[in-house]
Amino acid sequence: MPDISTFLPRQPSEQKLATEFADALHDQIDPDFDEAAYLRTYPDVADAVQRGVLKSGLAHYVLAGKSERRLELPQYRQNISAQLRALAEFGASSGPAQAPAMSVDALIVSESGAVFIVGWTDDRHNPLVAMTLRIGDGARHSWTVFPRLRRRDVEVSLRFTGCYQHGFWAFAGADDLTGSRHLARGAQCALELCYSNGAVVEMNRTLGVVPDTELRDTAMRYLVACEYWGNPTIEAFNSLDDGAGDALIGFSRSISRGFASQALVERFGQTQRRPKVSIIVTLYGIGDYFMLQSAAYAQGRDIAAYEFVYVVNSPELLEQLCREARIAQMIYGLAQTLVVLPGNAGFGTANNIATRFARGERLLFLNPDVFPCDPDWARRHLDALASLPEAQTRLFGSSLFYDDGSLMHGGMYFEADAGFRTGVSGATRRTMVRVEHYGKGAPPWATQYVASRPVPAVTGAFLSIDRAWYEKLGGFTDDYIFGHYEDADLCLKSLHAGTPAWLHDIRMLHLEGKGSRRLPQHEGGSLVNRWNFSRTWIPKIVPDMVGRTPQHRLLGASAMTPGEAAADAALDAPGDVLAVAPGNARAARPAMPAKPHGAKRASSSPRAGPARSRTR
Amino acid sequence: MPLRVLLISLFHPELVRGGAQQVAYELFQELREREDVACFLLASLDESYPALFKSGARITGFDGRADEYLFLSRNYDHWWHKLGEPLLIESFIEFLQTIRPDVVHFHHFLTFGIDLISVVRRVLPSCRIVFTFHEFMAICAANGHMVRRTDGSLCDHASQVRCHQCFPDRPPEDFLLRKMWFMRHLAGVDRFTCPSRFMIEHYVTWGLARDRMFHVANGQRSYAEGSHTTMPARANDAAPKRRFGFFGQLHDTKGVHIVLRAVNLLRADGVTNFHVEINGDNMRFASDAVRLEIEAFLAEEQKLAPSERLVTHNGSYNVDQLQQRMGRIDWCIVPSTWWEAFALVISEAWMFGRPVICSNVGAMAERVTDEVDGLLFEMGDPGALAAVMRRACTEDGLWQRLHDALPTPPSRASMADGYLRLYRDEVERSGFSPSP
Repeated sequence: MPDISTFLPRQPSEQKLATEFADALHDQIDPDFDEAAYLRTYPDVADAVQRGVLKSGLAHYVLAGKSERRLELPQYRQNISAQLRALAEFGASSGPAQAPAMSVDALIVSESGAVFIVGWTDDRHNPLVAMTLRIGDGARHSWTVFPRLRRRDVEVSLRFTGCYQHGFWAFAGADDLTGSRHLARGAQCALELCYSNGAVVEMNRTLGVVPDTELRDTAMRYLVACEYWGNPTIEAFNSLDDGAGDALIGFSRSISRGFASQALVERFGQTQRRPKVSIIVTLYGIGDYFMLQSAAYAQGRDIAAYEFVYVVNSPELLEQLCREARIAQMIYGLAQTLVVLPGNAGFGTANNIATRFARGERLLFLNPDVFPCDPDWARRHLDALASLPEAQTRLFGSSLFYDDGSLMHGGMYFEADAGFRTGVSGATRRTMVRVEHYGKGAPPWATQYVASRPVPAVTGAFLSIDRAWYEKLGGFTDDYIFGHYEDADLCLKSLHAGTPAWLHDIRMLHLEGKGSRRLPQHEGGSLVNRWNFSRTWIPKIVPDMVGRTPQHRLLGASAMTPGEAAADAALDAPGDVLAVAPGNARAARPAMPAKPHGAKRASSSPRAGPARSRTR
Repeated sequence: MPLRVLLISLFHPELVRGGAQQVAYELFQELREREDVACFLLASLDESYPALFKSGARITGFDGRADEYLFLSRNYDHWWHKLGEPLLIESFIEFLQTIRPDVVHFHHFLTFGIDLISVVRRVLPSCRIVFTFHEFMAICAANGHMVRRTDGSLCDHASQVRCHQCFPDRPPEDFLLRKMWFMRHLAGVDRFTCPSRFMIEHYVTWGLARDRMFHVANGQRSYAEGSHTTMPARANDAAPKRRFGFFGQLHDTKGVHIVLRAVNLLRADGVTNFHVEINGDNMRFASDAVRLEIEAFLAEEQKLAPSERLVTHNGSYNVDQLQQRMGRIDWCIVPSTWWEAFALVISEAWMFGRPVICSNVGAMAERVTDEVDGLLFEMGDPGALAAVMRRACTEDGLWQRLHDALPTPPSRASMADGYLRLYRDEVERSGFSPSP
């Protein structure tokens, strides 16, 4: 029997093939297929489902089991016969199995065939074990694991006072749905819930089909509003583990790539054929800052060596932006390119697509709410590229300041939080990674935070990178929904490819969070992204890369100054979940001359507040 | 070689009334009479006057007059003060290239956009740019009044947090950006002028360089000359001086409601041997509270027998009616509840020999010297105004003493001389030769 991993759809292209394969078989699914019997018969498949690499036994059957004629193998026949026999005996002795109280609150299907189901069931004594959705006469999806959550409304209704998570939700991306995905509004669908005692509840619904983006937003909003017994982040992470997280990411990625393939490009003004630097700005929801940035960046020496590429995730802004780009061309003589996407492709995908229309050998990713403190910033940026060792400029960020003058960003580092969850099998411990900023909120004269040095990561609000290096790294990972964590992810990819991110003190203003519109679904995206970032990078950064003084040979120049390292040890040592190895920090020698603002003495009390890694 | 000067005016005073446009037009008329100057006027018009919007036009002439043009503003962003219409910018550039001014003198940015300064700088790099502030709109998003929306108190400096407190829906960062945006474009201005000296301090505190700031008082032609009516002489007669007048818009910052409250206080004290004449309109621009207060007062007044009425509302007026209206009063009350940039009404009162009773702040306090040529009262305090009015009605010789010390208001010619000196100094300083 071949290794099932060869059939697992992991990459989008493979998923597409798998979907086409499933489409071809949509009417050939054997009515003899039974999810529970199949998983019981084939433990390798059950294991793959358990680990989340396979969506269901049905998925495996469609991809491989049918061609291997697994339903005909004696083990399966024996299991299915035993199951039918047991059901018959149960029915003979006690009549039809009784299903627990339950309700499906929402069953939403998107135009491409993704499914989101929300409901609850009082299955404390008779667990829900499988759920199957059949749409029309072909499409079908099965789930055997369900994220669970607390439902206060159900507790009130049932007058339940204990600790139990009655709620459940299920998600399947379009590629996970077997059979025909040509879904018509008003088609009939049947949802079947199977309980461990053999009880089956079948509900027939008329299909309501929504756009893919609406389903994504709905699922993200739901995710962030979920309540749990226990640590909410741990529980949310747990709910994403068994395939749901991958399904959400895959669905969002397919939406983003679909938008990216429909990019519309409009160029304004004359630019040199090979600008030295391409500034790339992603706009979402707010267009006001476009003109303000145009005015702010158009002045200063050497700005002619730069081109501006704005990638627009909000097509409704197109009219305004085109008008303003024409005006900016007349007033400031700016050459600007607008790359307009038909919807929100997210930060990573939008920036990746924008680089295709950027002509510079250096890419400078900027947030729309970043403005220069110094009109000569463009020259200072070019000077840094010309004068510093290449390894210090391959990927670097800059010091960023709030409107009130305090430090917003002096490089980023990682912290790990641990949480616990308890279940029937005992307590388990889980680590989650978060991104922190060095010296966030520090006074502008605290130059230790802005000294040139390698750092674990820099914010994507200002991220300058050699184009060839960016391409070698594969650009921003487009697995992150909407935005957040792509910048830290890119920096870690760079570090593991041999070049750490550096921080240089070019000094910019960052009006964090003001340049784009933040909606509740973005919080849901951030949650999924943190889960994804954690599972991707924990094996590589915990424990050595955690804390203000990470241990990594390429960060040997230290992300900290000696005084800060001492303070860091005091901050990190007692009470932290993860002990941080003592730093070998040595004084960072500023490669860029810092510009202290009337500095008298350096702060000895570094501060760092919780921060998002990037503004969306 | 005549100096070519383009005046850019917020509205045309014959289409939309207001102090800034009145001053700009006075300057235009005066410069038109100077042989060594070729002066052009570009006055904006917004969509409130659709009949003058010719199809497809962005800039047109005005009523067949030489060198007067209208800028047909539309799609204006009142928060960032910029135009959203590229064709307007194109037309403005074409207009600049046609007129080829040596000096562009902005009398406002409203309805044009602050970024048109940068257009002038880019299209005509040698051109000198002068900018006159008529209030504090560059500093203050609250109509440029620098009056705190939180409690109505005067504001003496802007900051992100203070401005956010006046506009809670706007984050503090927006106000830093607003300032950056304004400073970016004001950097293209060669010289700034303010009609009052105290305004210079506000702008210097805000961040403009003191050495680029100049004081040029607003001047007007004398409306007393060439009037079709004659005004009865009031000086040196023994008649009591118990008639007060208010001239201006009937909205909050002009403070007419302070006068009405003072009248109520005097009436309550049994003081009724005086009369107040209200001249002006545009009550629709007042806040609901102030509008209702004014309307209620006037309605109650109408219910009284004519002999018992203390206040008369005469409605709006134009400058040609000033002599007639001033002839019916002894004192001119200027009770503004903001700084006032210059308070043209003070000049107008002086033109007709009327002493001024005014708030003790800003341009009013700068121009009127208490107990010398007028009387000041605590801004926004009806009790203080009532006390001053009672004294004005009763103190023998007071009116005559103040009247005899009244300054001569700045003339149109002196204002033009001041600006021309500025233009020529700036042209000379830049080493730029005026267009042949």
